[in-house]
Amino acid sequence: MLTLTCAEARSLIFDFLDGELDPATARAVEQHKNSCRNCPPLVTAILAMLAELRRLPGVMPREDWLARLIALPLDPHSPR
Amino acid sequence: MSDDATVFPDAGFPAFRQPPRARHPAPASVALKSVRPSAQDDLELVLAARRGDPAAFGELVQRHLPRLLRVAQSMLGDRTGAEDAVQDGVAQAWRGVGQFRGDAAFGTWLHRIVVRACLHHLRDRRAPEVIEGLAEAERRFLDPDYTVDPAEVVAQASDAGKLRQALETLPDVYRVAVLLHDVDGLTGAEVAETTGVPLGTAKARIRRGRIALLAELARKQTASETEQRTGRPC
Repeated sequence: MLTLTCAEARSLIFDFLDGELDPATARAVEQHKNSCRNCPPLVTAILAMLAELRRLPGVMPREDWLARLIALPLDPHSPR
Repeated sequence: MSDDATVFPDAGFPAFRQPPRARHPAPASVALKSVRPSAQDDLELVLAARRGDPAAFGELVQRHLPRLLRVAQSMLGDRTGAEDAVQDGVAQAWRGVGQFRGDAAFGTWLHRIVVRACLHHLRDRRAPEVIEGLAEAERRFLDPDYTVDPAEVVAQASDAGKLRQALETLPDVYRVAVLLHDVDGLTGAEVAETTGVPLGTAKARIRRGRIALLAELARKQTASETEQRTGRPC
């Protein structure tokens, strides 16, 4: 079984979380995570941050701007 | 509240005129959860837009506007710049919609055009960036003694305003990479294709951007605690 240092595990952590590691390397990262004191909170924080990024709300258009957008003169560039 | 419940003004212009909708009171600017329309939902409108129907194109654009404005505002950092970039992208999309072949969903295609318009705006206005801070953040991240309190990071990141502020601190190329990958759900290859860089560069930018964002969220909490201890803002 491959054994990783903190630095090695952390250099792989994003590929690990994105599911981009081969199974053996992923197992090594998982094993390090289970046996380390400082890495698990870091991983938990990263996962939480990524979850919040996915939840970042959309931005609704302001009505005055939308009215201007609606008024864009599209006809000179008809797609046909 | 879904996108469909959002009231858009019937501005009376011929190009994008929309059918009348029920009116509900709404503030001029509201941040809502973006609901991504499905490709199937868009299909009939896409076919009409390709035939040159501006109203169908306008309806498509409005369906995707919250997502487009979110990425544009996060990339450019201000509402006015975002609106300009989205407007440029929409105009480009109209010129190209006749050639849209459906290789990707319409929303993905439009999103790419708007992101490129944003990148163009960024190139126009930003000086070359200093990235020493990111290298330092990356070195610290690899230090075995470095860690953060997840609860504190969540406290910052779960506030959309604070999360946007933290994103704002990242240099453009890293912020864009994180936005496209982690907010808009593009793959690493799609980020590379959209931003015109090799895959390795795109992945490195995503990684460095994430590390810097984590450090910023942790730093903000630390600063906030310090302020509470001293009992006053400067």
